[in-house]
Amino acid sequence: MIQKAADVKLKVLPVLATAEHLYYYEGPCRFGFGEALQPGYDRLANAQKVEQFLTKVKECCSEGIELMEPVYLERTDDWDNHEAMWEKAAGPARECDFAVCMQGIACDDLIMEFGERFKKPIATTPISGFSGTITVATMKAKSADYEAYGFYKWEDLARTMRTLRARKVIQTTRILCITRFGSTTSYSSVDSFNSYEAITSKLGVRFRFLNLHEFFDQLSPAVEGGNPTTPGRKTPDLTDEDLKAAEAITDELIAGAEECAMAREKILPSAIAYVMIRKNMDLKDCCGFTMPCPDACSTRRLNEIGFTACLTHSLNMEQGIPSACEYDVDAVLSQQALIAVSGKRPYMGNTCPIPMENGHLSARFGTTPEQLAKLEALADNENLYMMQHSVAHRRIADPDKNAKYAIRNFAYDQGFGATIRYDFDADAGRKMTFCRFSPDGSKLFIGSGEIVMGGGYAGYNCSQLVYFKVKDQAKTWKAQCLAGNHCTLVYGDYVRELTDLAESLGVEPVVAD
Amino acid sequence: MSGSSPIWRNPWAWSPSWPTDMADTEQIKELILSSKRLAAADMAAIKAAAPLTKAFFAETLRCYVLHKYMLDPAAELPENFSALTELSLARSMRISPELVKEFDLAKSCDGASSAMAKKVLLFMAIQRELGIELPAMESARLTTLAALAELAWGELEKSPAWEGKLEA
Repeated sequence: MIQKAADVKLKVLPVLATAEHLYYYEGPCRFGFGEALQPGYDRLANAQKVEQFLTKVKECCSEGIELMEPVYLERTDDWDNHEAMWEKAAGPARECDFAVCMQGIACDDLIMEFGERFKKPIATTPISGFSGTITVATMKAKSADYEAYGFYKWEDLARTMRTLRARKVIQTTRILCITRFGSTTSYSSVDSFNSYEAITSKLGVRFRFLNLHEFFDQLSPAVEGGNPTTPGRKTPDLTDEDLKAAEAITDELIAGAEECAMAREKILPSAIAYVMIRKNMDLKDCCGFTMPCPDACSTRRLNEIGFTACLTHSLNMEQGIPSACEYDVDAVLSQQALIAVSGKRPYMGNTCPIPMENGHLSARFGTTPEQLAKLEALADNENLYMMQHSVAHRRIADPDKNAKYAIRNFAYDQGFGATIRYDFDADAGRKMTFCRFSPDGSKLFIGSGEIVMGGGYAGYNCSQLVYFKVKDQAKTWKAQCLAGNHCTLVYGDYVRELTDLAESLGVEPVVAD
Repeated sequence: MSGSSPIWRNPWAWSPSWPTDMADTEQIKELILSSKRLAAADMAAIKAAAPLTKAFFAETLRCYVLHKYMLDPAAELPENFSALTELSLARSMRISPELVKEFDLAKSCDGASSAMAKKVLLFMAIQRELGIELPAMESARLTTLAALAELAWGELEKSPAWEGKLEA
């Protein structure tokens, strides 16, 4: 099954700790007069508090946050603390991701015991007033392993729940890596994660591998005796249903395109590859994908079959599934981080400044003299950046609606390799956020900017790009140098959300501005 | 007691500015006593009804609550229970801060509001008067006085003390 980021739910458990006085008396912990001191008052008053608390917590829940049935930790002024209560709490406590606690005077120890027993992140809320710090401080003093939050404003609870959901998205990410040589790096993305074991240990992300040649064999119908790379084995080869699905995708793409420069039969192999990659992702329960470019290209089998992975990455990304070129698992996870915090659809590519030197903007791969001349004519062109790859798609600007697009081939000479071209010109002025993890996963570079114009909409190959301006080109570059090349972007300002996410993952946020 | 006072003639003739004009502490006292008398009369009517019909109970319980809240049952009032409670608190505050002291002191130090305390004290009174126990969580979720009557009626039906006294 492919579990998209959008499908990941943060399970939030309300933990309600209440105390009830069984007798009439007054003193330092009991005050009021009349019926407020009578047995039975607390039963009704606690219910009022619980209802108010649950209403407030519900108001803090956004999309992707699932509020569980509450757990009650009830005691009387007999100071009872029965095991039966904890046994009842154990099931929901195990299932939850985050416990949001309501406690008042004489209940703090119950919340602390909940945290100690079940070792789940816990939070106190504004309803606890001054009690809010008691549990949090005590738990943190006991062990740095306890994750405890104290909120004095409801909006902080809401924000943290969104962050923890994004963290869960990252922690449950499974990436399908189709590899030719070593399973860590390809020849064109040596700045990708340098230790998968360390990333799994630190962030929880898992990596599932598939041999490139075995995958290529699967792109045609099964043959008697098994595929050449796996003789005698049953393999998930192309079926009639797969082919029909690929044909339908091809026809839909052609029908919807503003312009299609490719013949149907030239698009079809790329669509088949997409269908078969998704089939393998489904079989291996992966929600992210990457495969190498140069390592695969030099087998000559891409040429033989007539496809590139560009279309797969485009179609994955436009459905909210991280998918990066050049076996860049780092870029896959960076995309997932952006999807998790924004719910939007990312774009990725080679990312670098366009420097102004000797009065002219310097060319970079993918730029054209015409584009640079247009940029030079702008009043503000000192802090330009670009992101370039032919994996644009139809839902960069709006995750729910296709934009206009064109289809053009990647391979100039033979015309294969379907790519979707998107007109970034239409989005000039829009804010965007981009990011990339450092190769050791210890840092997250976070940049922001504003779209200036696009390039390569009418071009072929890997010439599709977007130009944007940042606040400070030099500072952005310096920060990016801690992360690497392939950055990924979404529209909108998510610097704060990414910073929160990085911190919750134990990753250092490196914000460019 | 001042027989010529307009308040005395019609103690429920509220206007938003009215309570602040009440310099006469005698008038205030009379208003409080009057509200207690009227609430007690409402409760007595409920207990005396034979048989007690659901419609009569709902209407009279509404009057009981509003009289306890020092609000005029004939006036145009919000439907929402919490809004009524807040309105009552606000008006009481304008008449005399002493009137809300009971609710302030019943808040305890763990996050309850005066409105919550006022509601709970009302429920305590209803429980005591009718000899029932309201389910706590349901009582906390009540949004209208009609819903309160419905909840209390359900408890009356379960109560042996009310057996044979309710309309079949």
